[in-house]
Amino acid sequence: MGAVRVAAATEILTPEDVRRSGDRHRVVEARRRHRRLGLLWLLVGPGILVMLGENDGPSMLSYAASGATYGIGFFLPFIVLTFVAAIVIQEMSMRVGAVTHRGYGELVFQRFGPFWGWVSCVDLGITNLITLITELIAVRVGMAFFGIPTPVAVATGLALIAFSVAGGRYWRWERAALGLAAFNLLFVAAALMSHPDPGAIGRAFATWSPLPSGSLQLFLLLMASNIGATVTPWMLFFQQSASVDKGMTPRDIPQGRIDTVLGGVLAAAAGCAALVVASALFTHHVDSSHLQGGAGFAEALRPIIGYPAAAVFALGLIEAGALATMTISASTAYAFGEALAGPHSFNQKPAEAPSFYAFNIGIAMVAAAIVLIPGAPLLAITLNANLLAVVLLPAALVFLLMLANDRDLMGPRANPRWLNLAGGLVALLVGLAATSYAVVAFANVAFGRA
Amino acid sequence: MKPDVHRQHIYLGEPDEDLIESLEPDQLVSSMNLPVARRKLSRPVSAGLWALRLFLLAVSGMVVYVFVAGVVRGAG
Repeated sequence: MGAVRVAAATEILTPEDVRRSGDRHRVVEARRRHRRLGLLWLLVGPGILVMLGENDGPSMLSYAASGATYGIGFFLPFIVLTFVAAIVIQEMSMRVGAVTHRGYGELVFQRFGPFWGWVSCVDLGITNLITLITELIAVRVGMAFFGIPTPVAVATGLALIAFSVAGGRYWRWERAALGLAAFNLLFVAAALMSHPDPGAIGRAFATWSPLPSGSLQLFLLLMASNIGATVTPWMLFFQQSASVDKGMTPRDIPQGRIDTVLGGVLAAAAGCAALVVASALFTHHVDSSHLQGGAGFAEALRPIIGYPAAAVFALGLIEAGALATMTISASTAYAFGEALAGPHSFNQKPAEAPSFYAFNIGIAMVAAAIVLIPGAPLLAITLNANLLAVVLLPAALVFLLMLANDRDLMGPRANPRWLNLAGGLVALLVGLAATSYAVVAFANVAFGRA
Repeated sequence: MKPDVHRQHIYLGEPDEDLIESLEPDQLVSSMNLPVARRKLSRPVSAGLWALRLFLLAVSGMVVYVFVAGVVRGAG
């Protein structure tokens, strides 16, 4: 690497430092000139991306399945609640990154040792691979609505990643991803076009009703899937590493919080919108149990809400899968780069960080190969992707809580007591939801109970 | 931040000093590559982490079993 020795010190400046300093210089200038909106514009990114990135293919399909199964009711405010939990967790992730200038995987490795570091990394690698398969399935499902064949859909997803990482700058990658993320709000447009009942939406938020009825296993499945649609391990890795890559410092924490909350609000709006659109299937008594394969929900919605609204829903699915393919691939590359103490920054060009870019594109290529296998159980993978993430989440949350409470690392910016209570409660509820579903589903399958 | 500390990180020549001074010293790659000290975990904390790990593995096993059963049933 073309490093340059600095005068009067042992410090080395790398091209990565120089590129990051360019971005930071604009932040310093905006702050010096008291340009509040300009400063916010420069500092938003990781929070919005992590939240809208998590509004991915399986997430939107989980929200849609909730709407199609139970209509507008309990799950609408429940989605908002899960995003409140996500904001609590992601704020910690952003703050730890801004204070320590180290990614989540890196800190777990260095602070708790290689065993726990590798355990976290392998958990992430497995869940990310499975989730990436579902993202490409979502792109495929969305494109199938427009008659585009599977190989073209999968190739488009891969081409998008290759294009997005070609810039050699974090800033360019982030802005390209943010541009794509804006299209997550297509779900809101689709909801408006489907002419939902405002009274039903208002009642659901006010009373959390009607409550779901019927199969306990199905209810637990959708509840766990909706949690997994909002808070997952890759988000912790991604936002912390992206905050570091962006060059955020403790002074930027207020803007980082706005970024995270804004992302949560936008993502909650899109998630609720997906539920509202699909609730038309519930109203028209359409069996939605097998809609996640093929053209799925969009095709089923077409005769009910019309072609334009269904097409917008399908476009939203394509965006959801495509953006998440970018962010989840990035989180994998960050995590393994940190684990191997290798390069792990978008501020390095591909020639400077071949392993980072290889992980980034490589995991997506493996996922694409699986999607293209004839007869692969794609529907089962889609249904279970969020569940596996939920099951493994409590371990990741415990490490994040320990890091955010580590006064040697965080100093005065360690978690206050109320935030520990909130974070602990989220970890506990996530663990309970995952365990409840796993036990009930396992009992039903293993012991043949219906 | 003390100016003298910051001054240590000024790059000779291009890019200009203002640009490099925009980075905090501990944001430089050379600083970020220095590992933080390992934390000594107490026995109760280690035991708690192991217990959580084993519990989650058991739950994961159940989810994987349900997943595989679903795939087999679908194939049949």
